[in-house]
Amino acid sequence: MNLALASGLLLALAGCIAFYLASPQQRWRAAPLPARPARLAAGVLLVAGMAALCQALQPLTAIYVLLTWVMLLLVLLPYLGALLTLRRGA
Amino acid sequence: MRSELIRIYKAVHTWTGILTGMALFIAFYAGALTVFKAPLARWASPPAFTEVAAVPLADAPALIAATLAVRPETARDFSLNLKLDEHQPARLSWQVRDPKGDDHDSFSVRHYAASMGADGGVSVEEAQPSKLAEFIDVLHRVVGLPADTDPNRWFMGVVAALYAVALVSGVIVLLPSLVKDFFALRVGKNLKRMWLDAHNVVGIVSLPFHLVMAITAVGFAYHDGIYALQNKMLHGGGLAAAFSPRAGGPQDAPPRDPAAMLPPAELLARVQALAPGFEPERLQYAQVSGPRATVRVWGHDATAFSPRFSGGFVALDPYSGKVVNTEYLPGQQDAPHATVSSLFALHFGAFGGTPVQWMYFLLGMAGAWLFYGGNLLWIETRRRKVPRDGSGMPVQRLDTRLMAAATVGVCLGCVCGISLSIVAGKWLHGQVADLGSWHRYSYYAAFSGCLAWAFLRGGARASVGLLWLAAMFTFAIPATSLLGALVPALGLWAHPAAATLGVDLAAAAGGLCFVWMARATARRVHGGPADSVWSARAPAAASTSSGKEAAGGAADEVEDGVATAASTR
Repeated sequence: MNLALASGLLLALAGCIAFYLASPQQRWRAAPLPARPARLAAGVLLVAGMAALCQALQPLTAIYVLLTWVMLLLVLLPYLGALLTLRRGA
Repeated sequence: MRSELIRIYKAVHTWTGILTGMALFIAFYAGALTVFKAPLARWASPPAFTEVAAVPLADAPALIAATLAVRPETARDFSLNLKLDEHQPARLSWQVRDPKGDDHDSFSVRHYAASMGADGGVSVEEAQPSKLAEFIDVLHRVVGLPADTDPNRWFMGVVAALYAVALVSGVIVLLPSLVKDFFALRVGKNLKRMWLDAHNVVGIVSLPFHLVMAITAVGFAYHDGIYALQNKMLHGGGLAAAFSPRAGGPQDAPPRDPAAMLPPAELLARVQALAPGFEPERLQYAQVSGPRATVRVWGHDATAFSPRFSGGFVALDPYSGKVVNTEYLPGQQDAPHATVSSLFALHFGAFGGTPVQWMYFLLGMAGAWLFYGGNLLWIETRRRKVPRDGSGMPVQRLDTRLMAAATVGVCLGCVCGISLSIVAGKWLHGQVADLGSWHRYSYYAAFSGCLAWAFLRGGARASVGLLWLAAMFTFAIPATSLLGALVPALGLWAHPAAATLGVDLAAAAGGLCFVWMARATARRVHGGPADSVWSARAPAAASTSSGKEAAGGAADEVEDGVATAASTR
């Protein structure tokens, strides 16, 4: 995997985590992150991730990769939250 | 009025989901594995198959000429393979379809390979490539039915159409609480809420993925009919000619001499000049002695999406090297072709390389869970709980008991069947005449056995044993390779390639998941609340006053491993 592709995926990962942690339904922390700044950070990270992906891939392909990655992450993050909840004995 | 509308859509969602959920589980589980079709095929290819002397590419013109001399009929269609591996070790190969077979029936296709000795003599042999990966792909394409035939594809199309309806109706049902409950996965005593959240998270977040799958699957099911209709109504029977890369060539031209074709290296140089990022893997020659001789150079471009599962191609005239078609060349398609190709690429995950393959694998598994979880939700919604006054343990409804048994039997039967079929690829090699059929036999033996066991024992009791069986069969995949490496005398084998080792490692990880599920499910079945189909302590139907619900062996129910989140609380 080339550096630009890896960077794009990591930036998008950070963006998705920020987006998830801003949600009132997040289960990773005791309280969600402040919604507005966290969502803004998520947006910036996702745009930066897209820009990095565009260095490695053609634009349409970069969009497909980003969407696929974001879908997968946003499915996994709540499940990780549920797992954490169970581990905490809730 | 709005709640009435929601109720209608909920009923539509429930029924379409229940009717198609188990078939879709098979399609998605097998489909997730099919993402790694090539590594699976390589894993299952025996060493004897790979012991073919690789002809250098520089000698390819001589190999082609010698092969055409002994097998002139090969001029119709043959391939020069640039990327040789365990599954495709021969430089030159071709396929012969059974004229009576279905167009999509890959099992009746015969494979041949040509190689050249040191003396320049050519030897042609019928190859027996592993059909394991193709079999799993067939399960994926026709939702678990045994063969990719027209009726089976049409059935799959109906399933896919209902799946699309289920997706749309499900979204409509969720709309009122979509924003508020986005990301909600509430684990707690309310099991119905938990299964609903678990189902919704996957369904809503990966909705674009599922919509693409549903729409393209309907297209794949009926495309033969659509093309035939289009051909008749719009093209007057000339559709094939209209899309032929060499349309308009002289029909009565004299035969051409394939020896005059440009060498492959020269053709590849032309492609390299046209598309520097394109990595050629195969040259598919067609009608080389005719006026419309064509060579399709198949390959991938790491920066672009591929129009087909096996990549994209650029077509050239093998005599002049002139490029005759770039409509399927990754990264260089015009807007209409890129649009259609996008649908293929998005269905197959044919973009972004290995990272996206893993993403598709996980999204496919999440999809299988979506359908499985839908059934759990249906069952939980109809659960009879102990009355507040504690007036006795209720007997669960017959339909929920049957649904529990069917869900466990079909889903774990599919898992066990596929794992057993993979293992059979090595253990039965050289022991049976038609290994391709034995993949089928082993799958359906395991599948039907699991299904029968689930109905015999009831979903609850069967689920624990079937999960252990799934773990055992799945662990047998890397164990077989390990045995092959340590004790070659057994006739087994293990290829050292990263792709085939990846199959073993993924199977080992899958086996661990099944062990975790089996242990958690056992706790739920034997120690969880008894007023559930997922408890082995639930009262038998025959012992209650509810005589109309006598249900034979399906009296005590249970849950399957994936439903274990409940039991771990």
